[in-house]
Amino acid sequence: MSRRVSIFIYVITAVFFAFFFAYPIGHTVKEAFIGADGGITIGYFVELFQNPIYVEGLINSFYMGLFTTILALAIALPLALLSNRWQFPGKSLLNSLILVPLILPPFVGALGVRQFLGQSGVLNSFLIDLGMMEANAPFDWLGEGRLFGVVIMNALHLYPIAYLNISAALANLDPAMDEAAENMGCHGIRRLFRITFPLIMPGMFAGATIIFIWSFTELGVPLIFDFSRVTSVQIFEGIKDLSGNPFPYALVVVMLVATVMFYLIGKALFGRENMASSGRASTGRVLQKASPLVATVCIGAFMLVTGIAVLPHIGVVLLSLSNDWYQTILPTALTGQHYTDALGHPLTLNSIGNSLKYASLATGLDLVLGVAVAYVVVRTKLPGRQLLDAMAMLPLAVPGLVLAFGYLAMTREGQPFDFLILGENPIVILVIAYSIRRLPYVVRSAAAGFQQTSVSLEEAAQNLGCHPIKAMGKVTLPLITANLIAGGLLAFSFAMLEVSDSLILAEQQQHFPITKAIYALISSLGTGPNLASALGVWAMVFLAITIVGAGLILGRKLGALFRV
Amino acid sequence: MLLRLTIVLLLLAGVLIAPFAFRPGDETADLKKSNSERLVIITPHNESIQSEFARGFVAHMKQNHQRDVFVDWRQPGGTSEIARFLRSEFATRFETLWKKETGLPFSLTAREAYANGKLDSRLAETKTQQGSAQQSKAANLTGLDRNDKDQVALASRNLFLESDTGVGIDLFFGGGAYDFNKQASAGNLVGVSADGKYGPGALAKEKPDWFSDEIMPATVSGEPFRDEDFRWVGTVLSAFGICYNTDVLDRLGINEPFTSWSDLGNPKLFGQVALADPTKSGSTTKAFEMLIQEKIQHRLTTGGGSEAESIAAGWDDAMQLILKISANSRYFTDSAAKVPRDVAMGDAAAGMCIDFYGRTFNELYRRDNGSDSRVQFLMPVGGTSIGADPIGMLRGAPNPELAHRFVEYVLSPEGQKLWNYKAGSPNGPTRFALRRPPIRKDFYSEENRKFMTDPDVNPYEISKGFTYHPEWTGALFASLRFVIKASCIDPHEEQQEAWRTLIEAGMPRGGAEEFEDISLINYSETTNRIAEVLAEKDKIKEITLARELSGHFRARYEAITSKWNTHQLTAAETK
Repeated sequence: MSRRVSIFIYVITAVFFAFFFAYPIGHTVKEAFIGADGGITIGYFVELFQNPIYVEGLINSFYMGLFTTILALAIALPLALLSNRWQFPGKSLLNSLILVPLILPPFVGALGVRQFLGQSGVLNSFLIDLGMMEANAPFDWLGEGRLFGVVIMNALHLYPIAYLNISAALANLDPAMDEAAENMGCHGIRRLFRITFPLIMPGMFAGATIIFIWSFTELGVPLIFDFSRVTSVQIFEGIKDLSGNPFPYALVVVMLVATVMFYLIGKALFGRENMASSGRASTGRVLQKASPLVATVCIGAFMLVTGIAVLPHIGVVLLSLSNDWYQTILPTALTGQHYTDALGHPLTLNSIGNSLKYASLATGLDLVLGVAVAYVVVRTKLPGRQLLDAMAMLPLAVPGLVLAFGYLAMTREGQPFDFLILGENPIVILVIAYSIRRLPYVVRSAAAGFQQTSVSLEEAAQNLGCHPIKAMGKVTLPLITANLIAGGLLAFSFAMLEVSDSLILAEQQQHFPITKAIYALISSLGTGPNLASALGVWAMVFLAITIVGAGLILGRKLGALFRV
Repeated sequence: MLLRLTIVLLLLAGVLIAPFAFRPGDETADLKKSNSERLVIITPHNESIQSEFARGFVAHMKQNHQRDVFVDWRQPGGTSEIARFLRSEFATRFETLWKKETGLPFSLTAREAYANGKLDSRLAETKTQQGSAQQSKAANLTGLDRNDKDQVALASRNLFLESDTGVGIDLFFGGGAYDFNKQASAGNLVGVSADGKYGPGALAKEKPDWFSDEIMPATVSGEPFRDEDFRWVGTVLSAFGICYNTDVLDRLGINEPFTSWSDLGNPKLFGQVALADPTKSGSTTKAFEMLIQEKIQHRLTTGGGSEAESIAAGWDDAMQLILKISANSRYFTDSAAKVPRDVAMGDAAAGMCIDFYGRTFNELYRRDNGSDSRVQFLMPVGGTSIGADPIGMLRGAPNPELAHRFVEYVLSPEGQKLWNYKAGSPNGPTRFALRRPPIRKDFYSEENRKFMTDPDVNPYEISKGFTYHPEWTGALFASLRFVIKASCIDPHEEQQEAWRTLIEAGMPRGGAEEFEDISLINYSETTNRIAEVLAEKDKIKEITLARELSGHFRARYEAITSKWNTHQLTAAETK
């Protein structure tokens, strides 16, 4: 594509990021650089690194990110390889179902976990029934779980991201490569390490990066385990502290810098971009039909992983159907009343419509921005593009409240962006907020797609007289549709479940998205958690149908979703 | 392919339509109400309170004033998010005004000064020196020297106080007296609207009998029930107590019923106590302060020393207890609903809990056979103070007249019934019993008792057992939070580990003494060194002190762990 167009795309995306990411964050965190006399200071940062509690927090966060990434890859990679090689019954369904654990509604997800792991929860009741535990000495899984528990929980929640990206990469792999290796006498494990892994590295890297940054900055899971010595929790606690000390903003800055650093180091080590195949698959992949034994292993592996990962969701479902659920494996009495109350609540209908509107628009914006950023990063040699790339990953690492209050301040009357509030309707700023926060998924997916698709295809089209933009639209984009669908689905699902921006920016009830409706319902006296669970179940069912449905419609066979 | 598409689309349509099937047929479903007058209220109150008061007020206005009104609730989160929200909102709105009126940039000085209530006395002085307020305002704004920080600060505060800067919200409803005092002193709350006609202050002139000692006293047992300038008034009462799960206590072998805060320090409760976080909520800090006052009271009645000695000794007793309670605790949470829920679900044995949550959960988990509930709630004798839960009018309220009507409604005998009548009783709430004790003394009558959910609770009787002495610990409110954070919250892991070690070693006396050593945070250290640093308002100094203090505690907890570790002891003995 011509340099002029590239620069134009570059400038547009950079400006958008400057206005809607750097500016609102800067607005909030600048306090961490101002001393008591009004001058500039680095005193907060000096204090931070002198205090062993915060240093330990950073180290624990790093471990949380590292081990979660390793474990999630260890879960996802074998499944993706199995699914890439064998054809077995029920595959397309299992293949889609595996993504469902990702969709855990906010606020109530934690209750679902507690229901299972609590001292009077399901697991202990089960062990007591089996006679493996004394009824008067139940194990305190959440209290004793510490970092170990957090990592397992994180990995079970996040492995679908790795699975999605690795599957897309495997689908893009030219089977001719494998065949060539076989012909040259490179088989089995050796072929896996020498041919397959290097070729799917962009996809693995894309998945691993998101998982690392996500779990490095994860807040909800450590809170469930009451594990407070990680940076994300320390920031959260500090921001809510009444004393108004700007110290937590210094932590935010350190966290952002650490994220960029880890990302760039990871990219230097694993993200080299010389793996684009010279062309698209030259032969179709023929899947081997699994023998009954192999099929059992495949189905078993998929069901085991999904089954464990989906336990918190089952917890939420049962919570929404129960009145009391205590010291028993299943709730003692079931009721549908909570659904009547929650779905019939005046807030609900409106909020469902709003969420669909906000999330779809945000996903649309993400696709445009994501392709643009990925294009600049992968296909151009413009200076500073690596920074843009790292920037695009940062929204994963910013505490939601910090960005949300930044957006709030910049759109007030008399402020430079007050035109973004239409009357009293926050839709524009909400869509921008959602899309900025969910942009990393699309950027990573699109970048992986670009990397695996040789630029020579586009150049060929241009040689034949096609305008660069048209060549991109006609040749490259269709080739990376799978990646865009994968990224878009994630962006849409998480936009539907966005919390901080929704709580702060959607002020009036008529503009509430579904997450804020859940937040409002959970505070109802007594049955609040059950009502909120019912609404959470609605959101899960809707998103599960969307994801599984997309898988079923777009891909008749395994991986076909990702092999266009 | 087409079949799959059809199935998926049908399923999606089904899920989207489902909520319509549950849509209630009544009028409440419409959120917009574009023709009605709108009252905007920001609140941390739960959804049950919101919906009952909105319904009650709308009906009241229709019936008595023939007006269609609509309550627009705003809830950006809990108390701490609301405080942040208001600060952010007022700052940006005032910035616009400041730039327009003075033509100067909104410097750090101006930003910090406009909401600084401590400038008010000096502002009053300058005004009297310069004559009428009107002149000084004009003089301040036109010939302002931007380099004269003092002048800029006073002008900024003055401009804010004389302005009608608003954030589009009429009322702030719910929280603690502490939060409202902070908002009031910042100038965000006003007693009367700019024209002087409406607001709680105007209501007090209209209905002086309501604000008499017989109906709504200004203070009860030392606790303020309203602001003296009516920038906030209490509407309902609340108190912290202890909720506990009898199943878990049985399991842990604790047989005596709880009576006081000290029971939470029992080592048998290790890892089973749920605490609220004093650094994130004024009312939680208050609960900890009550614990201290209980100990001081105890010293006064039993010790025989002077009052000053008793205060210091009581503070130290309380600190030792707080260390032990904290060592027993699982977490410090800022979510008021989390504690009773975790206790009810058996994830904690006992916890600090607000009264109406305790009562609601007690009712909720009453066993089917009619025997008692597994969740019990207790107000520690002599350790509970009843506080007011306020409402206040925000500066620049868009609809002060309607705000006035709402405050009037909430404080009227009619509105007060919503707080404690049973659901479905005449003039009571329709769907939810709110289970909170109203503020009006005349509410606690024989006639009302018939319909009350808690006929036996009379906070005015309970409060007689306890008098809050603000002069003892009131000035140490911020220091108390700081001390708890440095000694318990920051080094919580090490503290738990030390406590666990001591429990496993059979609580050796030397070890317990080391654990309870509070010489770094005793009364004189807190009032002198710590309070002084906090008063300086230098945030970096604050965190330096916090680091030093928590570093000391951390080191000591670690030393206890290594010294009394039973495995090491036996290893050493066998050598």
